[in-house]
Amino acid sequence: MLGAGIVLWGFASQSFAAVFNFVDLADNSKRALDHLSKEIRNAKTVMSCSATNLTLIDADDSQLVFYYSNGSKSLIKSIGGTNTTLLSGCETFHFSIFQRPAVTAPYNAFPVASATNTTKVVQIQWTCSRLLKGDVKNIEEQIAAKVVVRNQ
Amino acid sequence: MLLTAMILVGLVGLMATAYMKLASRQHYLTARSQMWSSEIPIAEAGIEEALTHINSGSTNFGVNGWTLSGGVYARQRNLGDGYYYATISIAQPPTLVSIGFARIPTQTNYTQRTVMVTTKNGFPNFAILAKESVDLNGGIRVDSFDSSNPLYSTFGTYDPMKARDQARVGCNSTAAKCIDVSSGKCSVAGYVATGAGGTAVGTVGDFAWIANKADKKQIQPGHQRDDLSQAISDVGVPFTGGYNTPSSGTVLGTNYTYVIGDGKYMMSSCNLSGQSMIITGRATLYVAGDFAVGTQSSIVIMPGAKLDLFVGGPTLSLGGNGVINSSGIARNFSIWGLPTLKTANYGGNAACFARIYVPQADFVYHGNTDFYGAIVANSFTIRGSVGFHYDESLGRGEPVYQIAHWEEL
Repeated sequence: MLGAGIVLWGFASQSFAAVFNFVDLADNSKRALDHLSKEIRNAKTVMSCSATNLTLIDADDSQLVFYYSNGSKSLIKSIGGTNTTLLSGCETFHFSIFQRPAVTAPYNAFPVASATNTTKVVQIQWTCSRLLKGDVKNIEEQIAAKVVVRNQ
Repeated sequence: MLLTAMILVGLVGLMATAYMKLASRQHYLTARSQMWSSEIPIAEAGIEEALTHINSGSTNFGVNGWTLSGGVYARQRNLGDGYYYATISIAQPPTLVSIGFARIPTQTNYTQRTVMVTTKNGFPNFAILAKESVDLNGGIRVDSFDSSNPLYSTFGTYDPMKARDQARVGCNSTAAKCIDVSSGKCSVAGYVATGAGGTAVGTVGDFAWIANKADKKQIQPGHQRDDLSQAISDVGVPFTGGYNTPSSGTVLGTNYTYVIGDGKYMMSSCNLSGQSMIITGRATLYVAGDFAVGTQSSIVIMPGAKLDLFVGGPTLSLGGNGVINSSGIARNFSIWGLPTLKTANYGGNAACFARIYVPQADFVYHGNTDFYGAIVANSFTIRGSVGFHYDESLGRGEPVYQIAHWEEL
């Protein structure tokens, strides 16, 4: 009976930890996405973009950089020499840019932008995970969003 | 045994309750996140209504449910479970602020997000609009056409057989003869308007009036106003980053000093002398200093291309072969003069198809070819025996106020 209780307790603890991790990851991702999408919407223009680096010109004409650090698995915001970590535990991260759709284009079809000066939409994709029970990554949160640069 | 079983059942029940609580909380957080996201479209709806309201044509914004309160015009409107509170500042051009409210799930409280939009004046509905003076010299004939209407144009371009007498020439000045159309055979087929007390002289009226020699140098009754007070706002710097620098290239086998495609371009200054520039896409070119097209030089705007040229230097001079706007549509070539642009002229050999907005510059048109489009300047002088053909579609399709900048606060 005691053994059954211990097994039940162990299973419950693991389940609680998994659910807690999932909620925590989702919460952190939502906060980061909220912050990122607000800055992209408010930006005057996209200055440069690569898979892991996005440089914007903000409303004050300052350069605002978001970059993914593969070493620390983090998304970092950098403005005026000050760095802030928006998200940690990121396994994969990807920025991509798109143009305005053609007048006759189907809904939500954005051509890929070949240059930043024609960028109207920024897409963000990331995957975050947590370790549970040693090195098994059994908790994962995936985010993908397209954000319109309102002032471009 | 019974006690142990009860403890186990209690533990299982406790865990089941905890799981349900967690699931419920997760559901609540998802609903709250959706509500938070919905506040932006709600606030946007307020911006849409405010923008429509200020563009409705009324100069009194205190109508249609909008009331003056605390120095701003405001109104509130419900949208589903949420609502927005939008305001219009009394400053010109106005600033719009809209707060989107959405109700927190299972509660009566609301959270809010705020969007602010600054506006700028659209292109005015005038053939010629000046702050100080309008002076037509020689044999200038001002008339109109409509590039968007095949009844009043042919393939979108001016056709003398379809010309109209709907050109409007305005000057905010209150000085005598601030609009002077009295020289030689000059005429305005349309209307003139000056500031209070200002006067216009010359031949102004409909085609029948202008054709009648007895009406020469007279203004047809009903074709003159002296209550003009047209807002002419300054032009801002279009961008400070995210631009390309023009470079040379070959298009259709011809070498060009500058080839400009889609997007934003910037130059510190530009003086084309024996050189050429071609526009192949929808481009915005910002020249921070002077801009000049000199001898044996030209700018070519290809069919389907469009150029918005912003000039920040004190001088703009378009000579040589001028600007060859291949489409013949004025909307495809716009010149915007920053407040630092003080002197501008066009004397190119090519006919000028353009809309020109240089509110602080004294503009002189001395080309030997016709002008098609519209112009706003501090003062405007045109010399020679050419036609000035106003494209009515330029002003009619433009809202009075347009969005200059959008920001979530």
